[in-house]
Amino acid sequence: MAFRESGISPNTEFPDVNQEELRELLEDAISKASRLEAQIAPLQSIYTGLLEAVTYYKAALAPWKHLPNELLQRVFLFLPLDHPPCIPFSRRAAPIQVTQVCARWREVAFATPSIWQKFKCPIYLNPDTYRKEDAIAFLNLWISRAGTRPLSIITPCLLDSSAEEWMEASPHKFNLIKHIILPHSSRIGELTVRLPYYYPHTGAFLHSSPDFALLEKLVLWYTLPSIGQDEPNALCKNAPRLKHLEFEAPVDRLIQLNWATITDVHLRGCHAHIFLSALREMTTLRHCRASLYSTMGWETTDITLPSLLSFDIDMDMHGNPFENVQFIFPKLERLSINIPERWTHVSTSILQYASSLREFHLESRDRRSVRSLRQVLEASGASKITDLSVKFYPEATLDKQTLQAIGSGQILPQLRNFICEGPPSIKQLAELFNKKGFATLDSNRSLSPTSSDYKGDQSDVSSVPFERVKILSCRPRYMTDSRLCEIISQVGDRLVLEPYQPPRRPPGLAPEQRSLDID
Amino acid sequence: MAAPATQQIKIRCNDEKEFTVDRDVLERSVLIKNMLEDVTEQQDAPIPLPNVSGPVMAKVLEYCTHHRGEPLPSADTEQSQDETRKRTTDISEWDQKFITVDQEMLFEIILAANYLDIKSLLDVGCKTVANMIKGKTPEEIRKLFNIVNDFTPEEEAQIKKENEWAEDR
Repeated sequence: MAFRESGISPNTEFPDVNQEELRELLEDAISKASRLEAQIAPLQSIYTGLLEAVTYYKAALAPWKHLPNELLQRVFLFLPLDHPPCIPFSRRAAPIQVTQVCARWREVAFATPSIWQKFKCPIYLNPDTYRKEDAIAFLNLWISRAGTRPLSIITPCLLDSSAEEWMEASPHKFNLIKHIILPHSSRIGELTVRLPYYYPHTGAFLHSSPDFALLEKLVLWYTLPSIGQDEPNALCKNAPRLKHLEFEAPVDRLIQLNWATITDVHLRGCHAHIFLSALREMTTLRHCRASLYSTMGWETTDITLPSLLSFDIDMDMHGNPFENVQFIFPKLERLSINIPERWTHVSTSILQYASSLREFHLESRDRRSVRSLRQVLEASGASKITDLSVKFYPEATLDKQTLQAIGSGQILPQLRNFICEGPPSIKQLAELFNKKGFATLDSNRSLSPTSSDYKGDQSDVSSVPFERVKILSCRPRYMTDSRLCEIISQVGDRLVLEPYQPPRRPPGLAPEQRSLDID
Repeated sequence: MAAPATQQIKIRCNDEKEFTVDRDVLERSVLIKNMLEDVTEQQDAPIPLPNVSGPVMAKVLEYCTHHRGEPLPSADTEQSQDETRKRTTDISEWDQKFITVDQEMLFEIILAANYLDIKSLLDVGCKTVANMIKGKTPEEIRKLFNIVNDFTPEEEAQIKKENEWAEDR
């Protein structure tokens, strides 16, 4: 520009030049700029209009517009809608995101009740951030969009320090149970409630006996702030459709309900006596998980559960609560027993009549449970077991005779997969294998360089001085390369090591191809 | 004894493009299957498909050929999926490669699958669109699909009010 070439700096001391000349130049520049602006304005307007037209025509021709509303609905049904948080929600999460795109998407989303039926909502809302009335109105609006669909509600348990204000909760604060769960109880199909100790309304909730006409699944965790409130609760008294129950509470008494409808149960921290009496009533039970405690009140009668498929028990107690109980589980396919403490054992009665059993898992740190394992496995119910895993803590050891009986097929003739963790030592096992003459220690679970629990690579085993390389049936989770080499060297030329093949589980292994996973 | 030859069926698309296809491949389409069952005598005239173009039909046939012989979902299965909404957005590797097309073709495939009543293909298409939407803000969705914000001032006000409950407003 000419003014730059003039050599006059606009910021220096008032220049000693012809000021008149400068003023003329200024006026001329202003005049030219003004004329140009007048010429640009209409062009700018045309340009903006064209951009709008491009957007409009692109939108008008957008391929998605061919979708009729029912197909748009079908797309929305595939959005991830597993209990989205409703307060506070994310604008990136369904179903809210699709309601804010355009009028048609909003209309279709509101006309799709099933995308609104599941939501997650805290029982506590910070009163400094949210007004109670607004929260209730918003939640009711959300629920109204679900139409007549059964609701599925999860309340995450907040454990942040600010939430402890609930200890001093004033009546005007938001109470999810009072304002949302109880008024809509007859519409709730699934409810997960985790009530923290500072929640002041737990006792009232447990005794409320709401109309749970549609409730099929209840997950309830609570801690009562006062022992005086620790009474049998009547929460599920009016839940005729309840099938799935997961319950954790520090109480000796379970919920008053009709156990006969329950098909799936998960009880945590349950008194063994209470458990057994409830179990007897659960005649349609299919899956059972329970962690039991106490040594009192052993049962002495039979328990028949004709539909039970899986039974998963943690016994944190002394003795054996099932000592004198005759279990008749004709369809049981999977049994898992975990004995984390000493002085507990399992008895043969657990397997005597489980004629369909395929999987048996035992985890124990007690010698007595291991001593009786041989008898348990010889019970008639064990004859069809194909998968056996035993995991022992330092005090417990699987005896050599039982191991030999398993290895030779003397017991568990159908066994396909055997995982044994813990003692005896690798050295002992290696000696045993040599004596018993396993053809190979073959396994479906080859040691994989890509396996997440294997830290080495094939070169570790390739360096072992063997002519052929095949097995590695050993479960490598706790096995270091040096221990692996130790067992390989002791088992000798029975072992054949081959390059890694992706693990495959054939439908039926021949009985002689028994696998033995050891550590 | 030689196996009986597979019956070949002719179809004609709306752009006059014709295909001759094995009957079992075409029967992935419930619409065509029902049409064939209604016809008692063998016809030489091609079946007209006025709602599908040749290029789209070629893609649909590619899908049907790959999945020939697989069991067709029953009406009960479909209804129970709708009821329980235990749907997944998982798409098999082959289907994913197959459906990696431009938006125009993607929506055309969805429409064709709906018209021809091929539920599994319709689901692959809808899942793909759902996966495109997943995790995006409304603004990002508009940009992706060329959608104009046409909310009325009242709707805008309502959305603004709703967003007071948003953590990322």
